[in-house]
Amino acid sequence: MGTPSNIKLIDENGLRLDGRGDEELRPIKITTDVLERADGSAFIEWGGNKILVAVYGPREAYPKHTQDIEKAVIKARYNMAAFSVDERKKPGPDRRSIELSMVISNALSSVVFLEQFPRTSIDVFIEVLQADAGTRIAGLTAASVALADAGIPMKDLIVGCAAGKVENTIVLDLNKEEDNYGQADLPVAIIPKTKDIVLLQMDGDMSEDEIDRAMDLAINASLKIYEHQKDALKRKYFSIAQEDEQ
Amino acid sequence: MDVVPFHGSYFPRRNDKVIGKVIEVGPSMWTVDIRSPYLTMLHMNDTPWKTFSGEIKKFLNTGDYVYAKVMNVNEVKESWITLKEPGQGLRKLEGGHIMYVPAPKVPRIIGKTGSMVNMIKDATSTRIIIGQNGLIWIDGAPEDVLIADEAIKMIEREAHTTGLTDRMVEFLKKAKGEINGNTQ
Repeated sequence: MGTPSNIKLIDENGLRLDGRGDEELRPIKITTDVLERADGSAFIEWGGNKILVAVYGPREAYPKHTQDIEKAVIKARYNMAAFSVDERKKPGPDRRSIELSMVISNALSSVVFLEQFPRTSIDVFIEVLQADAGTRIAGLTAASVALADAGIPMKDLIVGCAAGKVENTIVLDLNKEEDNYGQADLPVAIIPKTKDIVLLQMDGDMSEDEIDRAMDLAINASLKIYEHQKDALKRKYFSIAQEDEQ
Repeated sequence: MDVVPFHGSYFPRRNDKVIGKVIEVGPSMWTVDIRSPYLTMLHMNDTPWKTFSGEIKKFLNTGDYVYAKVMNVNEVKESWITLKEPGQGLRKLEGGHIMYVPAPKVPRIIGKTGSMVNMIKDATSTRIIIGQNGLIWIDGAPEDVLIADEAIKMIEREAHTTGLTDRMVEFLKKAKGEINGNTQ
């Protein structure tokens, strides 16, 4: 963030490095039910991001001291593969991934009806196979789809998007170059039905007006991504129904 | 308000009849796995046998399957099952083949007042017991069991579609035809 560079992130026509306008999203594709052994799973391709999410549970929580006698606990683990970034990432949890695991767990806990499953844990494994900025939001978006695929009762899906500031312009859905060399990055995740914010972080700096504008952009884009999520969940059943008709 | 998911785990409810696997034998209780997030218990006094504390292993050992009824579930979801209800077919399951489908698909496999499962039973001449938790016990000649297994998997896969009964009639007719060696 804010590393000086001579890359021109926005050209004279107002287009970004990958040819997008300020308010344009990268292409998103979500697939569910990609893993046989998991109770629920999802795979999301969002621009250059490729993230696999597996959900197990609700199942008895181990070690036993992590159990809550009144409700389930969500244990999300965000992990980046060693090969997910240009320079090899040292495997294993680090400061960043521990933090992201926590904020994602907290976000998911706000939509799942935890009190229905006392003493259990719901394990969410988020594996980033290829990273291209915005992985926490992409991972969280896919995780909520995987939870729905697992048949876990929820108030709503969670959906998010990032916005940021690049060359003094507020832009939507930063890519890797914009994330590395831009001025600010603001990931937002919401519950689409109520518009409650369940995750909000910021790296870099923006003025109050800029934050308002970035939040508006991100929330509007999230509602579009919400449609992708619902589509992904329905698609599986449509395809079986169609096979039968033939 | 609540919705029924297409799949998800089983949660014990009072009076459900379930199939479970004994995974641990204690001095006076068996711990039974019913494919739920929570294990369930079977106390020796809730069986039709004359048991003595410390030697209940003779009646049920680890790996055995039972067809039992959920007697009680408490607020932290601990549950107890019983074999001691005459006339309901509760017992230790001997022989046969066990298969599993997600619990929310069970009503579809049973069908309206048992129509679907009875159709499979008649067509394949097998004995079938379906637990509310999704475990299914099938007994019969090996090739018949395979057909019943296949038929149930088909229902599981297509549980949310319409016209399933008609397709099942077709399927069973074809499968039986192939066994008798007269493929069309």
